[in-house]
Amino acid sequence: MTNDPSDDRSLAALVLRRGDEHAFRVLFDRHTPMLSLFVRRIVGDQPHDVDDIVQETWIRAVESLERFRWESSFRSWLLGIALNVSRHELRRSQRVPLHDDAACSNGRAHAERVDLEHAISALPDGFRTVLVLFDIYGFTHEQIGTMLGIAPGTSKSQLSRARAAVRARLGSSYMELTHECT
Amino acid sequence: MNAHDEWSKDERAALRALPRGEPVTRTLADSTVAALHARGLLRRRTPSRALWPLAAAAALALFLGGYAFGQMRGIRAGHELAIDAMTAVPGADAARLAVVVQRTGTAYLRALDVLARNGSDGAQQAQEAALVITEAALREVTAFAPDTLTRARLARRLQSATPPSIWY
Repeated sequence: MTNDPSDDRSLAALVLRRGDEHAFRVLFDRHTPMLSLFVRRIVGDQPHDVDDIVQETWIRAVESLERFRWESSFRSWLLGIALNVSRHELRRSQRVPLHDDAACSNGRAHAERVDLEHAISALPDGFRTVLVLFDIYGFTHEQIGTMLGIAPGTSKSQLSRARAAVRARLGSSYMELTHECT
Repeated sequence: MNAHDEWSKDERAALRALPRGEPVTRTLADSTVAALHARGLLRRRTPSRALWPLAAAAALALFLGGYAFGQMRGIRAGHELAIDAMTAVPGADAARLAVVVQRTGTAYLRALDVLARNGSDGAQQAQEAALVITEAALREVTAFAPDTLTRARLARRLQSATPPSIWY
């Protein structure tokens, strides 16, 4: 354990023990830019209020700070909370999850080249979440399985299809995807 | 997953090039802080009762620095006034005494400003006095609270030679 008063753990301790606003603001400023973009990627191209989700994430984080065991990084823990809040918001908005096959049809229908970020944001929820967690934020399939309540094998297969769908939207492997989907 | 599923070198590079963060508005920070205050999870930034002794100690150090400087220059009126102010509050608790000491500190800072404006010699002496004050405050805080953010901040401020701004 480091004694650096500005590290996440020391600041979190100040928030927990003293309700230290300054310490919280340091944590907030340090992690929220990453958190905000993560949430935006998880909710995809749906019209959710990212700021509301980020705020709710921080509230839940501070509320449960006492139970955090520091067995993972503060960042990973925050992302896990943000993921839960985002998924809850997606369910609450009663968005009908797209069936896996929709990725294929989306690939055919929108084969024009779009940029990578948009291709990811347009993925079905399950695919997008796994791809974002694995390919952008570096979580393992085991971690993703724990976070999403699915088997690591399911995470792998969803990642596989997510990548295919992204390729299809980017146009680079359109024919391959078309072949796989038929 | 099979080899087909793996990203190509270019695709991996494109993924790595994606931004990892985005600008966040001050409004979001403030509204989040307000929400945490409303739930009792954060406390206001005003010094808590527990910090009063620390504030008093630092203010006292400020005063002592001024006293030492005054002694050096043969000036006694300032510290005598401060002692009068301290003893004129019978039965006062630490919080009230801390206010008196802080006011003394403010008076000292004003005196420092007057000194600094008194020609080039005054500015030089004011700098020496300010250094004495800040070092004295750091020593006091180190003695009272060696492992705190307050001590670390004070040390950093002294190191960067910026005037202390923790008082008012």
